[in-house]
Amino acid sequence: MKRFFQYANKKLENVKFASKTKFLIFTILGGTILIGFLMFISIFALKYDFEVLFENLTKPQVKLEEIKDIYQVNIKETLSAIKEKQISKAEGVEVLSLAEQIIKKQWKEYKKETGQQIGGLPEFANNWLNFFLLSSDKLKQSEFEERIIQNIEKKIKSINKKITKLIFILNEKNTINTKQIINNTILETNSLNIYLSTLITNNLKRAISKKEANDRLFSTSTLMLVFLITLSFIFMILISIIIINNFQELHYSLEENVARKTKELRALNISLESRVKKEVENSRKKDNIMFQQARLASMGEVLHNIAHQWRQPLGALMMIIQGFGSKFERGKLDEKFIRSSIDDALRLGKNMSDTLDDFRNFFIPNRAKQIFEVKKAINKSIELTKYQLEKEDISLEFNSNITAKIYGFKNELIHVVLNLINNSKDILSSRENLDKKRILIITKQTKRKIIINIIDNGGGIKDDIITKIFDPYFTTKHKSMGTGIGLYMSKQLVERHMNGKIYCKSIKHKFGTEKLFDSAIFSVELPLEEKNYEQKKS
Amino acid sequence: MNKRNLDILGDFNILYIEDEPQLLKHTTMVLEDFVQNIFAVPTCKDALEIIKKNRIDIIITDINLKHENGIEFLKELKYEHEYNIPAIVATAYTDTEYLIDAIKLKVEDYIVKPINLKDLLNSMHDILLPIAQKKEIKKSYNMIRTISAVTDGKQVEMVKFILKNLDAESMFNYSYGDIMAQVDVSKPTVIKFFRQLLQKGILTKIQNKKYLFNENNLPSPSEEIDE
Repeated sequence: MKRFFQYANKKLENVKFASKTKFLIFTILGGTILIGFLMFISIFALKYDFEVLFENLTKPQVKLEEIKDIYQVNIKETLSAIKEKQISKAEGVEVLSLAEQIIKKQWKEYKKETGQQIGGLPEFANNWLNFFLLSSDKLKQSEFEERIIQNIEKKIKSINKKITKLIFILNEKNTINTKQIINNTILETNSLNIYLSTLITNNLKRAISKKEANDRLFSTSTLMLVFLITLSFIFMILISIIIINNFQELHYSLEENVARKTKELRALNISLESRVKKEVENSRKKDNIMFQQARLASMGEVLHNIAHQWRQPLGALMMIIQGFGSKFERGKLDEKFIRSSIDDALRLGKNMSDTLDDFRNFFIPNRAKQIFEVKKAINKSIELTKYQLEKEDISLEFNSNITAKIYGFKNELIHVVLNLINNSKDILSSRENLDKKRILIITKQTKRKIIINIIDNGGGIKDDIITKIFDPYFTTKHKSMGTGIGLYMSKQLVERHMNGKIYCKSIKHKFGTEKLFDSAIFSVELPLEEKNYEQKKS
Repeated sequence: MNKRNLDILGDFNILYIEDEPQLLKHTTMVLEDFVQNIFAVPTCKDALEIIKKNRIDIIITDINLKHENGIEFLKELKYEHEYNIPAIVATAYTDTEYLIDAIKLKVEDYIVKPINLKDLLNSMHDILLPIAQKKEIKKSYNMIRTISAVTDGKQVEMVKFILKNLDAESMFNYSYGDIMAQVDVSKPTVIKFFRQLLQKGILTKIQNKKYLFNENNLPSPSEEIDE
């Protein structure tokens, strides 16, 4: 059984699910229809047999009995009455001819009824059933029956002749032969009656045998039907079981598949997780490298700035030292000169030292968060870029009365503002035909946040790059100028370390003049976390 | 020329433009020992005011001034105001751009910051020396003219003749007769004059009609004045 199912499953493997379902439905439908059909056939075949039994074999017997009665009662009695002269000749003739007519009519009807075909659905069903049972039981008249009928017909005819003759004789008032003829006729009538009785008996016997045959047929057909129905039922069930089993198998295999795939997916998920982790690690490393690069880049710029800031006091210091020599040579080295020179030299030295500290504070990573004034941080950024802005002849304006303090990495905010100023500076320095190059820093403080806007009249940002402007390695500047990291790094710092936002757009700004300049505005939004701040403070 | 006589700077007025106050102050303090007047200003506008009011012999300017450019100022001065004052440009920049501008403007010198005082003074000296010399010559000439106006004119004529006819070796190859023929003087005057010169060692008789002119034995003018 198992092997059979396996075989069936194997065969059904390549059949589509929908086809299988259709096949199952058709099998059930077909089985039902077949069973129904067989039921109908059997019912109608039974009906046919019943009809044959009644109409062809039973009903005609009535006619035969009537004929028999007419001969017995009407003809025989009348003839006897005529013989005994109990009735008049005329009366006798009338009765006889009437009886003759009735007999003729009844015989005709009998013949008609026995030969009658049932037809219609029952016969059709019977034929079908016979076809199925491979038997043919056409109701055939036996030779014996035929002969009796022939004899009956012959007798009827001869009786008829005799009666006609008798009637003729009676009408001629000839009474000589009357008695003899009547006797003969009565005799013949008796024999006819015997024939008729025999026919009736025969017919009844046939009906009985027919009924027996029917019974046999019924039981056989019932058996056959039961067999067929059982067969189709079994076939139906078998097909259903096979298909259902196949479905089950399919279901199991699918379930198995799903389980396997799930497992694979899980494995993939795990490997993906590790890969993602690795990639994240990689990207973090990359970011770190980029930050390093960016730091180096801005370090270079700031170093440039520092160099310039050192150059002036250094020049003055050298002049003071040379002044000592020169004054000494000239003999003019007086106390006043020495004092003022020393004071100045010390001040200059201190200044240089401070500048160096700025640089150090800015670039030596200061990992500790602190509370600091935003304004001071911005001022520091401006200081660190002052020299470059002067060199590019860019005026920077920053007037702010904000007092907001935030808790975070001061150097990072300085760096962000520095980057944004440098970005504006780079754009402005590439605009050679610009009359006045300006950068404006405006700060706005609300209850919850502080916004630092850095505006430059460098022409604004083109639409096609505005979405890419914070992408890493994106730069509009010449390769040697920009690393393309500054803005990306600023965004990272603002979003990751300060929980803030950074965005930019093109605007038109007057910069305090009558003219409208195409400008770019970069905004840094920093949340003022009062609670946080208070906590840290305490 | 290794050791320059920086004393000549004492006659000149200097304009110094520098926007860095400390440097301006200290450079001024040093330079004022060497020059007659030093005008130290932080802006070109102030500088122009000074130039209009004072005689300026040399301008020392920084290139990179606050919102201004020293070279641009010099250009303006030269072409718009038609001042032709020698200039020294001092800057931290060594950019060729500025160098070319400076050369085109015929700036006298270009010194790189931080300023080396000696270099600056030497540069000033070199620029001012011709002017000083010109002044000196003019002064000497005026002196001679003054002397000749108050003393014996014949002696001056004779000195002129001797200096005029010195050959490459500072030799004077003329007899008294030649002198008398060229300069209208009597023989006793010539002999007396030559004796004086020989006594002072200014002229040395090598042989007959051949004298060596000893420049080194000339007394310095100031000494002469002092006497």
